[in-house]
Amino acid sequence: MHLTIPIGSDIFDANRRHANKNRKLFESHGVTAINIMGAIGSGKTTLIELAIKHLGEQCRIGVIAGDVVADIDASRFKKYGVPTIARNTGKECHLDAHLVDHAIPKLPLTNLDLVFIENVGNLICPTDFELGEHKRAVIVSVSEGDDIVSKHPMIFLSSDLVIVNKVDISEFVGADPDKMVNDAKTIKPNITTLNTSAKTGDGINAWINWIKACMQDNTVKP
Amino acid sequence: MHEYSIATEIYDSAIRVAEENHATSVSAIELEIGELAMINCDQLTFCIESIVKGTLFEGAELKIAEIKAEIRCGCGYTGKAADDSMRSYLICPQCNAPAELIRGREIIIREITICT
Repeated sequence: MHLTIPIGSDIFDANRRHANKNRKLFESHGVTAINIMGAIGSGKTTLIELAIKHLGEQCRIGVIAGDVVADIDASRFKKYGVPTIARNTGKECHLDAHLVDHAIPKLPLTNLDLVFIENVGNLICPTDFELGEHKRAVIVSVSEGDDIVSKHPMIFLSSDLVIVNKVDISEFVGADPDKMVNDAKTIKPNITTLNTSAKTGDGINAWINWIKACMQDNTVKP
Repeated sequence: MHEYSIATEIYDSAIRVAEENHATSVSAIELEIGELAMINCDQLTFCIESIVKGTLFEGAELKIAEIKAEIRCGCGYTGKAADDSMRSYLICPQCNAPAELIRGREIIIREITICT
């Protein structure tokens, strides 16, 4: 006998449930969580390190560091004495809310104000997977080419901030940072944009101020 | 790039329903995928076909329908975007105010057809 059975479930529902649970857990401890996304080598780890250096005295920071294998990034954060949990995704190209859910209990949330979740280097797959963050920042570097934003529109559509990083080398790699900013604004007119260089320090204060504003704005849900 | 893990989740969900309903085989599985979901349907089909070999789902017809993106605005508008540019998914075509994307990013298992 043939029988058609309706299911109607969204594959992303389970992830969304975990993400909501994570967000509530962060909020119950007064913690702001920021999902840091971007391609391999865009500067995610360095910009988080700079945030720790600038904000470490003013607030208590923790990091969940996602990588396919190894804990190289996590080791970089641990040097600053901040609680850091490395999450290896194995074959996966993105963090998901379930992996973050497993990392959260290992963080001393009661002693934290801010958690950075560094996603796996990828401009595609992290887009569809909420982690329980309050804000999403996506980092692109000029060395990826100034058409990188227009080639990956969805991640910008779902982000609150785009950082165009390594602007000090833009003329050497023939990339126009203004084009990258304009492309992001075309995709999402109300996205915040920053140009930064970890080398020269350009834009780093603005990056720090954006993080501070996120923390003040923590009641605003994504 | 994550089609294999999505295919695995689809299979896990569907096999649970098939077993609960005492299926001896599955003849069809119907999916609905949002046009803005970060998934490639050809790759997904290939992954599902690979996973189901030797299972109740082997030989099942895989049907995939597209879910068109839909936006909603405070002015009362609910419907399609003005065009298929990314920007248009965030702007109400009626009043130009910021709109919310409410459909088009899902991956839904609509139904399965089983033999008992």
